[in-house]
Amino acid sequence: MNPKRRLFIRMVMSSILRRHSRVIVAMLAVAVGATTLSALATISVDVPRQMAREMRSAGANMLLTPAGDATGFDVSVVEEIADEVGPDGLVGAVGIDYESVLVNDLPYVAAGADLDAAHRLNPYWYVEGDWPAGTGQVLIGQDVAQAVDAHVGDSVTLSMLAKDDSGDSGSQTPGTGATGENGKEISNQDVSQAEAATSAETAVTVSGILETGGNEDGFVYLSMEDMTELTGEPPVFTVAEFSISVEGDALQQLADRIDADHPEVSADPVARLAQSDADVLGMLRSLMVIISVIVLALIMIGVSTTMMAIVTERRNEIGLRKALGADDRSIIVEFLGEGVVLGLIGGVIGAIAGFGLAQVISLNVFHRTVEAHALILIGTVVAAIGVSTLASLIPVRRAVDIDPALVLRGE
Amino acid sequence: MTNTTSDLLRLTDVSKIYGDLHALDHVDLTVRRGEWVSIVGPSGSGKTTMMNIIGCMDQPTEGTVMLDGRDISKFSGFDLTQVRRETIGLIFQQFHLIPHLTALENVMVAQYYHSMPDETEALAALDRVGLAERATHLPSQLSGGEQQRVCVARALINSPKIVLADEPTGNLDEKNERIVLDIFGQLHAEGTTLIVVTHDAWVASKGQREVRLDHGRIVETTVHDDAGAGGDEPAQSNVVMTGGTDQGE
Repeated sequence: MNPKRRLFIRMVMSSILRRHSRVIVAMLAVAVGATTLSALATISVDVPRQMAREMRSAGANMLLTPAGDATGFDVSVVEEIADEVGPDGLVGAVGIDYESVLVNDLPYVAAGADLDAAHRLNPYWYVEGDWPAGTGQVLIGQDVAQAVDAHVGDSVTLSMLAKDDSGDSGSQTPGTGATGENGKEISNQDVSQAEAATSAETAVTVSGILETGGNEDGFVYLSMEDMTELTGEPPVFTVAEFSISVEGDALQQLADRIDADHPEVSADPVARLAQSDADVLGMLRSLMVIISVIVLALIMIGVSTTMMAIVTERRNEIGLRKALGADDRSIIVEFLGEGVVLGLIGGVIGAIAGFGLAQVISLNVFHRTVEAHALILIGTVVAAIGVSTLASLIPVRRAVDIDPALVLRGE
Repeated sequence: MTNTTSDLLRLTDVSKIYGDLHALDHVDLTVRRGEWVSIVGPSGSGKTTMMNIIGCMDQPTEGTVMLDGRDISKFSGFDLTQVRRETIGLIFQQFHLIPHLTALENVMVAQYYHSMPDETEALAALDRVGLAERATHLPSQLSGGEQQRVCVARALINSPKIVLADEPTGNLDEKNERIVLDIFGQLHAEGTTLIVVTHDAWVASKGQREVRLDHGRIVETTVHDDAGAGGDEPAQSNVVMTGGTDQGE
């Protein structure tokens, strides 16, 4: 290596290694700034993602219904689509077989489903009592419970209703058709004029009473096994609900892909929810960006002030170097060299500490870990070097204008 | 451009004026190559102003300064820096070493700005002032005398045409004062031109010529016999001229 370059590196490193107290102050300023930046950036990227998953707990944002005139579709379709979406995007999925039933001789709609999956998909549902723990237990809506005077722990009798093909739908009381969030009918069976179709009866225990304020209050939720036993037919789904952690256009694209790949079903995003999610996430991202920019500005001021103080107290050294024949450029390069090294070390420390801080925040707030993003870590180090160098440049440019004769006389 | 005439430095009718204050007032001074000149005078007499002008750290308000054949009185700051780097070695009363660099690195800094650092040469310079074994010490680990010797080594490392020393022994004890003056004696013997500003009459007497300043004017020039040869006794002196000018010998 060129002896001049070697001495340059030696001088820069000597300044950093032998001026412990000053360097630690400057490095801390840079590291604290980098920590804040790294943590904010990580949270800015990860929190909307976490929030998207949290918001998906508000229920399904995509519905699957039979295509064309079909009344149901194979249960395997739900698993296939769930696999296609993948664990990263899929928050929950449940297939439901809606059938008209008599509950203690009163007609209602029964929903046969994997109740654990339904619970995961709708964690906000209020249930008095417990969710069914297995077969032989049901969750009945509040309206049903009042009509049949059923309480938690009571036994009720379910039997199938005959399907009425006359087309005269009539009144829907006391049971009503199930309607999706987007207004799409997912169970339009009129249960008011129906009669018992089979003699098959199933006695089940009410494990909980469901109260959502929606259509669910008029349904009876039972396991697929109980539903199969009741219908005496192989299980089919009349609708499937998906909660998928993607937004806006991506959800529509996914629905289009499902339509193309699975002609037996029709996939439709719940438009109102998807748009609402996108709006909230958009606002959240904007907020995080604004906060990040403000914090970055504050960091720059803090680091600049520290670097200015440190460079200013080295006026004598700058004066001496000028007296020894250093031109302005070489002095600026030397001090910027120190700024780069300080920024590099402080940036690396800050980037790692910032990831740790983001991890702690995410664990405490969202109970989930955040992922390390290489781009954020590298960006933090580069930003720290940039801020540190820029912060050095201003006082150094001012310091090189000093008169070496005055400085060396102690004035 | 290198001038081969015997005059290395010539100040002609040089004044430095700050408002109403004439720090230097129509001063003429000539220094020959290889000469050792002492500049004495009370505080505020203009010694440091003269040193700064000769050392290319300041410019005269009036008059011309010829250094090594070049008129530097109208040079830009950039050009003065270049002349200072190539022609002058500076020694300060306060030592002015860079505190986070070792003795060796402090010497090499002067090389760095002049041409190309050479550790062997820097070590040889430290050896010459008796500090080879202290090369890796920081200034804070050196005594005042040792720090000043590092300063001397730094001033000499680029073989300057002229060494300017501003109160070089002002902060030293007697032992270190002698060591530094012995080094100056060796330099003088080797033909280095020395200009030493001092309050100390004994230090001043070591020069071949002693120029006394007062109120910005040269009021007396004394030529010392047997100057620069060392020894404890002041050299024999002859006052050769008084007044505002000095034309050397």
